[in-house]
Amino acid sequence: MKVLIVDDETLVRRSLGRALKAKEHLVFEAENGIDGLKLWQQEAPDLIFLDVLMPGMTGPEVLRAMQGQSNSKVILMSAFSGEHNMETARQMGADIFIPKPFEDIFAVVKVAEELLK
Amino acid sequence: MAVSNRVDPILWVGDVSQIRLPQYIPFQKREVEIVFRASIAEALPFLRSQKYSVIVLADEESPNFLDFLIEAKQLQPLAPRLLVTSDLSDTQIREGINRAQVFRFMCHPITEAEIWEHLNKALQRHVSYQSHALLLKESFSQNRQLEALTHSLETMVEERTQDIKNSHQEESDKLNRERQLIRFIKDLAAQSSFEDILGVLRKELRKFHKMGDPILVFRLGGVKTYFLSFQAGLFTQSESLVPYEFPHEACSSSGKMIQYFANHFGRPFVKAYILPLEFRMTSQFAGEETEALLCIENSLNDKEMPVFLDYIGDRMGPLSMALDRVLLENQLSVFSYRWEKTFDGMKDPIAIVDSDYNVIRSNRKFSDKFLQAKCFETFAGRTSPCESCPAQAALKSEQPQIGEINVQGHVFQVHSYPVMTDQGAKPTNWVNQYVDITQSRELYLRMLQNEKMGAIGMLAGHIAHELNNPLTGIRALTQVMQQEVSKDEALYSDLSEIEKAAGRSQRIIKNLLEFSKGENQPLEVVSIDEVLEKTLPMLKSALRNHRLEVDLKTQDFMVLVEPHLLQQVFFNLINNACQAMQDHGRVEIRSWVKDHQVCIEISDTGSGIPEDIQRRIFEPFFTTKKEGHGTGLGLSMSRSIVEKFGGQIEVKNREVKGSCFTILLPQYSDGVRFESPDRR
Repeated sequence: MKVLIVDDETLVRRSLGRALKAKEHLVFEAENGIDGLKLWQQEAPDLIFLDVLMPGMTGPEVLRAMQGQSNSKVILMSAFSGEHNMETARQMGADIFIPKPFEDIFAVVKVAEELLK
Repeated sequence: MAVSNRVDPILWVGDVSQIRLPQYIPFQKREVEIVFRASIAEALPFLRSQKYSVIVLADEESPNFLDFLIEAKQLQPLAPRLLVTSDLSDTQIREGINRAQVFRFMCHPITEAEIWEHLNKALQRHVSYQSHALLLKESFSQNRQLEALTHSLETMVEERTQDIKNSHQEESDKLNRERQLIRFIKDLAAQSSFEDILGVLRKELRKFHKMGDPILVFRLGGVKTYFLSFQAGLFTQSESLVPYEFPHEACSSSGKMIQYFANHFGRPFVKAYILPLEFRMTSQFAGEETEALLCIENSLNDKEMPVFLDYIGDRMGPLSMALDRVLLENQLSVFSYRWEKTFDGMKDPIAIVDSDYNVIRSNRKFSDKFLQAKCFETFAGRTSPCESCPAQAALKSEQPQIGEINVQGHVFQVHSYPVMTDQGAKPTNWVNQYVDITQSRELYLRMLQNEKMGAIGMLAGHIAHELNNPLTGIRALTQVMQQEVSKDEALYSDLSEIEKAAGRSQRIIKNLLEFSKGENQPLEVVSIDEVLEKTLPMLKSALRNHRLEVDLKTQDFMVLVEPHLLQQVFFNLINNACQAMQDHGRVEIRSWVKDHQVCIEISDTGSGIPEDIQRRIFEPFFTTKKEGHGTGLGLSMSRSIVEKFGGQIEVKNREVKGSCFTILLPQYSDGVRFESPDRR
């Protein structure tokens, strides 16, 4: 599977990337929304991990740009608690909302795999 | 006095045959007739009816000559008696002299010349008698006149004395009357109510019988007529709206008046005297046209009426003035009463205070007591002036000043207004108005606190985001790396430590986020122990120099609260406990359950809280910290939070040292919050 990780926090990208690669997924990384959008257009990933708050272009903006043209599943992530939840994330076009910090990275990977089944 | 020219005739009784006698004899240039009578019997009627100058008895035949002579002496004492006899015994002579006072005795034979001489002598004696008698008469009449004069003088003196006595009586009566009037005026002056004044008048009127009690009728400009009267001896006030024109002159009641009074009092009125009163002062100061009259019922007759009129006339002036004074006082006290009520009605305490802080007057809100002490004693229960009282500044600047004082948990904004009496004079009094701004101040500070917490929340949110991102990465990466390392390797346990630290950090951030949430979050069912455990990490730095002993036993007992607010309470109490201790103190936190009450006790080993302060520490704004180091809201907010969740907070001193706060919260189980024992 092709997985795109869009997050400005390197450690988040690396940890997620390594955990996914360990499960033999193909991982692409982007450190902001603009790059993320480009990679989405180029690669058409099956799944996107999308952070909310990023410099340049935020997660919700990326979602709006992709609206109607994407078959990718989207997991919206945010460390800014309270602002978003599963409901708002779905309204914006994401499939799942995962608040940061994660308690267990493997649980997150599991959720992602479930989504792609 | 001239002797009468005429001389009465001489009476000769007896025989004249022996001597030759003429009809007249000369005597002092006059001729005196001689009347002859032959016997005593013949002479007696004449003796009794005529006057004679000399009586000569020559009737020797008659045995009763002495009787004749005695009668002659009695009838005509002014006529000397002569006796002519031929023979006389000594006894006869003696008797003649003694009993009849015979002037001369003549014995036969006598000569003509002797007779002449005797007669002459007798005539002389007669004349002399006569003049004596005249003189006597004269002097008697003079005496009479004198007596009359004396008598009239005496009468005059008596009359004068009586006059003086009378006028004396009059004077003393007048004096008495004046005295009574003065006493009446004095009595009136001492009275301060209509009842008393009418009472004095009533007593005075008792002197006149047939006199009813006085009735005072007056009107204060309006249509309402007031009647003050005694009914069955009791003072009564009544009112009437019936129009009636007051007479302007004192008069006896007309039929119309009688009818008016009778109608008003509902009883027959016989006859009354109406006296108009003039209430000049009241009219002038109360600004209304005041009419008044006095009605005195009586049954005096025409004779008694003038006395009464005299009497009442004297008293109308003083009476009028006294009633006027009382009415004015009443009116003024009504004004003053209204003014007082106005002040009493105000919600703010107000007091007029002199420069020594003595309360001169105050409204009810300031003090219920009539006797006032110093303002700070009465209002603030202090022994010295309140520190931020603006009064002295107001006096100094002669401008209103504002300050704030704290009285028993209330914050008062004190407005001090100097009382400017005379132009240019320094004010010595001030008016203090105390506006209770506790609530608005509390609201303001709470709002401030909320904003602060909001700002902290926002800041915490940002920080949390910034920290959560790398922490997420660190933790996730560590977890990934842990997967790639054998559990036996030292690296695995290193990674494990990193993972744990990252996890702890995440929880702290989460706690912080929760802690700084705003108000009105949903209630949650949590255990107190859990909330405490979440709070303690945030107090690590406060606790770093103290020992912390935690003994929690309520993990399985739930309460229904907003956890973050309860966290704030714990944070507050533990932070206070730390601040109350020097270094190396001990904070003990215990929890247990009793009677479905979850109890948390936070105690320290600090200096404890003086008992007089213990009552007050939960009051808003009560603080012992220096200005700028605390709002004095922490404990009051803690209490309101605990009470919001149906709990209680208490404080006591520990036996050894330090203080101990206990929070009781009702246990929550199966959707029911147990009521606290006190509230049941």
